[in-house]
Amino acid sequence: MAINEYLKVNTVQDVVQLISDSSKTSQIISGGVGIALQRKDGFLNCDQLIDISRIEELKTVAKVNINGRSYLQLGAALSLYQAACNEFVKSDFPLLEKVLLECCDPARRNAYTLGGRLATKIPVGMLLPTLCALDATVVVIDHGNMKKVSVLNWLISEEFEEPFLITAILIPIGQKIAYSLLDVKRRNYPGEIVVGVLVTSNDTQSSQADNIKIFGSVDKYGVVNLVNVADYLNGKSLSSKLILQAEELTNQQLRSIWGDDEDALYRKRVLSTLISRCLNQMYL
Amino acid sequence: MRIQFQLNGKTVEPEIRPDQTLLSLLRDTLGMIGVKEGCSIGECGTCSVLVNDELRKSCIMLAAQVNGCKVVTIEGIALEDGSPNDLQQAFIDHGSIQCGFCTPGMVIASEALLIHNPSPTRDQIRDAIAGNLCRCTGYQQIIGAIEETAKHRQAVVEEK
Repeated sequence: MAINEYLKVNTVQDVVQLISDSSKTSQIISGGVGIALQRKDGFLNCDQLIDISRIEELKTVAKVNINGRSYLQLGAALSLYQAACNEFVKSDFPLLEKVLLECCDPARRNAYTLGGRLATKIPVGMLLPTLCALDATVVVIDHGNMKKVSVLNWLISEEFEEPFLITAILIPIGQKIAYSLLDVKRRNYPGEIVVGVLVTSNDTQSSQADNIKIFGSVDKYGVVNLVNVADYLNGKSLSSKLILQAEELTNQQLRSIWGDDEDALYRKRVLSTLISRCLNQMYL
Repeated sequence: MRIQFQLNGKTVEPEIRPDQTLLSLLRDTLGMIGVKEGCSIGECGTCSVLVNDELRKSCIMLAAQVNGCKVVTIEGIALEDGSPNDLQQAFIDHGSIQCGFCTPGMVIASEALLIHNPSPTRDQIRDAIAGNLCRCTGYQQIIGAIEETAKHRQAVVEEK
């Protein structure tokens, strides 16, 4: 089906009105990457494209207070580079700044938007694990209703059907996080991460695991939340022996997700080794 | 639909399809064949252009998105008489060009870097061309050419 219209809109209300028109099928476009790839693969199939890239309220960064808690609100139409350059992000979330700048090459940092990465759920560097570790929330308008969903739940949720509109990401302010981030980059594609691991915990000086979170990101397989391993480690004083046990637990959890074929064994080995190294870096 | 934008300093008003990529518009409609089509999925960087001084890959951008923007392709980089600019000349002098297919994208990515960071480190140069693949040179000559151009341009600024 040929696309009949390309509509550039100026307000969120206009978008909501357009996507609620059931007589036409719509796709939202911001950075344009997803649409261009769908077009190439022959999957682009709608009546109209709705360009939200020049809606100012979707490009704002602000500190907001919701139910007595402070959040950094990042507009969904911000490019990854614009988000990385923001002063609030630099001062309050150095991990996020680092990940935004390292997650892909400069041209794609300029093209990818925060909303676009969350809408497609396609991993880009360690961005999605980082948003999960920071307890970020997605603000989405679906069938005219505004909903807030944690990024972690968003990634596994299938309840939202397109077209929906992601308007912002909320990240709680005031977290003091220690982290370790390790990855394996694709050899022929500089900058592209094949496997990455992010371990975060509350920033304490002791060797005791405090609110530890462990996330992996594997190329086509997406984000893995190693919650069992984190639960096992939390509250314990980390030693070499405990880290070895964590490696075994990681393998067990990954076996239940990926199975035991040769490819899965390789992925498990890489991921569990990276996790051990991260834990070693942070605690030993 | 009709759009209007600045292409290499001149205003153009092409008729486009709503789902046409910028790459297709530049090459097929406007004859900017220095913009190469490689992977078409944003991996190789041969189709790189500047949009409002930002580096973009034209294969993963729709033509409609550049309405009202300033677009620069490799054709807009050279000097007015058509001779290579200092960066292009440095690519030639350093042997940074072998088959030449990646070169337009490399030059555009390098220009984007030098616009925003006039004196980059070697690591910053590597990062700036991370989205541009070269299967011939091994990158070292390209990095050398960019480094030399940066130093040359800095020297010119300091002289003034």
